[in-house]
Amino acid sequence: MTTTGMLLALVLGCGGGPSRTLLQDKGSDTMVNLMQRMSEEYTKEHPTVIVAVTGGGSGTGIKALIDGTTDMANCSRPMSDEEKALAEKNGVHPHETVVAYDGLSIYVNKDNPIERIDFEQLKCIYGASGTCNHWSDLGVTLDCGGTDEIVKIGRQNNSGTYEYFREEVLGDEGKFTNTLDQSGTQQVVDVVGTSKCAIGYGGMGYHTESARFACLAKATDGPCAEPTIETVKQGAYVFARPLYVYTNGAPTGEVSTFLDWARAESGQKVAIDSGFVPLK
Amino acid sequence: MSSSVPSATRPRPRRTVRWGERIIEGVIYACGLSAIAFIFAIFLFIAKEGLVMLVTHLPEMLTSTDWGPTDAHPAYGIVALLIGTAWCVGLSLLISVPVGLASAIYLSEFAPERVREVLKVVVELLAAIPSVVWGFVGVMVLNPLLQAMGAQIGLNGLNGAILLALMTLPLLVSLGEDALRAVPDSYRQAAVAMGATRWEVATRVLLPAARPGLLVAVLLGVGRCVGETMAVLMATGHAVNIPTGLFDPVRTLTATIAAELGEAVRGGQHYQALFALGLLLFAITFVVNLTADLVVRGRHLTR
Repeated sequence: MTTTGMLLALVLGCGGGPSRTLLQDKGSDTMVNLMQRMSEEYTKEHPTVIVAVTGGGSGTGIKALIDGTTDMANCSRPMSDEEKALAEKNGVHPHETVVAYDGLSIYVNKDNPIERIDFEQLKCIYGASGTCNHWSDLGVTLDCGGTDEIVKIGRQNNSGTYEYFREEVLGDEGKFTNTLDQSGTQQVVDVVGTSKCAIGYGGMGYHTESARFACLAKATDGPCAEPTIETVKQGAYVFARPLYVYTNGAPTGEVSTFLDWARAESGQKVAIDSGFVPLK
Repeated sequence: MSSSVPSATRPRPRRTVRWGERIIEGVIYACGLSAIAFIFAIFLFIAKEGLVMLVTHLPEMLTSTDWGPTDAHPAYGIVALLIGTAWCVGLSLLISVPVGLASAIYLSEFAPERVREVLKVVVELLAAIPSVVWGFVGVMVLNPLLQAMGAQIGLNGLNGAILLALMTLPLLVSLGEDALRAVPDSYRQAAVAMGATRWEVATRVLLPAARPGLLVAVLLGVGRCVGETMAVLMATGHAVNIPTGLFDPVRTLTATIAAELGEAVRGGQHYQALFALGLLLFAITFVVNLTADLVVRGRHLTR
């Protein structure tokens, strides 16, 4: 447990009740709702343990783990080699635990008639050298007040989703074009929901009535699928990714108990309720 | 000192009073010095982290529009960010200066005493609203409003500029009103005696007379706008983009630092680049405030 955690636990423990353990969990904005709900459910079953969940982005969580200011770091992408090297240099040995799966989803407005979108088209929209700036470039007829310019919604560069999307769609050396960078998937979905010509990407647990999934295909002539529990599990959804929780060394004590719980039945039920895909 | 105290003991309390005074003087002196020390310490801290980057990458930073510090080949061009900041500040001044000066003239010259009292309180309340709340207003109120006006997306440069204008208005109105009221009444009386209307008094006599004070108000407003972070982070759309239209999204220097510092590895190049941005911001606000200061001095000298 971290120093801040211990101090907080001390403060909470001074309430006169039984002493409580406070665990810090920080990182991915995609996972923040999931981990928050897990934390609430867990505290119901284990009243002496509180898991304090904060967002900030996957990179922020990893940085906190390396700095020793968090017990667990949520990450919607695998840790990079540089991050691992930096961690080892600081005496931190990252250990990964998968808590759920996610289908990284492409969101479009409900009034957008697009039937399917593939990786080439995504690259054409989001890549720095891409040339798709109008929906007509993708063969879609859409009128947003006299124009059909694509409003490209992205994420800030401390986001694991941003990194994952870049590596998968644009390649390791890939560069994004100018996008409207939002600080969380919730904001991405909000903007896509209110702007007819917008497109965005983010975790599958965030879709709303006004921002729908686009049917995603890897190859131009390949089959497309929307992200659901079934398609992600079967591997039919091409953009599935594990959601990680990183700890310093293999988890021990209360952290280990919490992560075991998260991977077991009750925790996985929370994952499903949050719109993500369970491990089994 | 009571007269019943024996005369032999009189000097002693005087001496202690003098010591007490000296101590208090010393404390106040130290406080005054500490403000300078803090400024220097902050400047040194930012310079220590950011100077290396400025020295090695300044040409790239000032010529490229490509800001991609986390890319495989990091790019540190800040032209788009500088333009984004200038765009927001410029647009907001176009709104806030006319409105602010008009309000100041109304409050100082035309408003009945009671209306003036109420309005001043309201304007000061406006200044007390935290910037994150303004950000909310931008996202929840201006965003749909601008979209209804035909913007593709309501989070854009204009949204940020309107918020900045609302945030600087209280400053402009209070300082502007002070400057106008500082103009001696003899000016007004002379102008009225010459047959000038109230409008002529305000525009031809008072505005020129109060110009240095009004200029200071505007410059302090500029400083406030340049440094504002949270509201513009939430409302401008946060896109590295050189705006060509009112409804284009932009990204400012401050918002970039706020959004990215959390992830940048301490001591890494990205971290240093963000501090270099901080150094530039520091320089910009310093120049603006210095100009304001020189304008005030100029006014005192000419009097």
